[in-house]
Amino acid sequence: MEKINDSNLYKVFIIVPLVIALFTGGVSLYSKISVEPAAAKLISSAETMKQGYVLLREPQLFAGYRYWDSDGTAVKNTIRYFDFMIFSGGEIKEEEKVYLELLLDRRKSGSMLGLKTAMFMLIISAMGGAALYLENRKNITE
Amino acid sequence: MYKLYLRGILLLAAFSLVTSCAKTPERVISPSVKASVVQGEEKSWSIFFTGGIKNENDSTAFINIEGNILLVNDSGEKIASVPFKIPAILPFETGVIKEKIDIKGETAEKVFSMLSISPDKLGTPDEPGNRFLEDKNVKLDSIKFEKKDIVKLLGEKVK
Repeated sequence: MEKINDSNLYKVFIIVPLVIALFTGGVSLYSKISVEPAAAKLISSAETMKQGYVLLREPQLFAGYRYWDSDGTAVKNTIRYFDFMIFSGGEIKEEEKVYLELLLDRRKSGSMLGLKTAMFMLIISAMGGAALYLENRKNITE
Repeated sequence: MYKLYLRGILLLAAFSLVTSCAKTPERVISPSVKASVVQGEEKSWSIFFTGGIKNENDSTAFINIEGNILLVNDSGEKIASVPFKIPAILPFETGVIKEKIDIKGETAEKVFSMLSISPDKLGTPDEPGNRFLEDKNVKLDSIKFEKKDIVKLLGEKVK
C-alpha cells in the first residue's frame, strides 16, 4: 500500500491560521497600543471630547456597531445621541463622559477578542508545525 | 470548469460586498395623512402627509435626500404623489417627512375614497381628517441621496 505523505496538508494548517493570526493580532495590537490610549486621552478632557468621540466612532474590527449583542443597545443609543449632537454643532458635557467610556470599553473588549483569536490561531499553527515535524522525522527514519 | 467556479464565487463575493456596504431605504414607515379644506377655494383640499425614512446603516449617513411617494388605492392604482426632501438622515435615525399637497377634482375623489373620508364633513368634529395609512397604500416611488461616511462627516464638523 502506498504511503500517504501529509506534509502539504500540515503546511496549509501552519500557513492559513498564521496569516489569520497575524492579521487579527496586528489589528488588535494596533488598537491596544495606539488607538485606545489616544482615545482615552482625548475623552479625559472636556475640550477634546468631540475628537475622542470621532476617533471611537470608527469601530474596532471585532466590536462593530452593526451587530448587536446583549450589551449593545446602550452603545447604539449612545452613538445615535452623539452623532446627532456633533452633526448639529452641539457640545459634549462633562457628565456625558461616562457614555464615551462605554464606547472605549467596547473597543477594548473587541481588541481583546481579536488578540485571543490570534492566540487561538497561533496554537493551531503551532500544532500544524509539530505534526509536520513528526511527519518529517517519520519519513527520515523509514 | 474550475475557473468558472472561481469566477462565480468571486462575483458572489463582490455582490455581497456591494450590497452589504449600505442599505437603501425601501419603504415609508408609519405613514399617515391629515386632510383639510383649503380656505377660500371651492372644491380644493390639502393633504398633510407624515411618515419616516429609516437609515439602517451603522456608518453611512444619507445627505440631501430627495424622493417621491405614491399614494395608491387598494387595487394598485396611483392616485397622488408626494415629493419630499430631507436634509440628512444619520445612521440608525429616521428622517421625518412632513409634506403638504393640494388636491382637487378626480384626484381628490379618489383620495377621499381611499381614506373613506366624506369631503363635505371634513373639518367638523365628526371628521377631523386624520388617517393612518396601510403599507399597501403607500409606495416609495423614488429616492436619491448622497452617501457619506459618518466618521468623515463628523470629522468635518469637529475641525
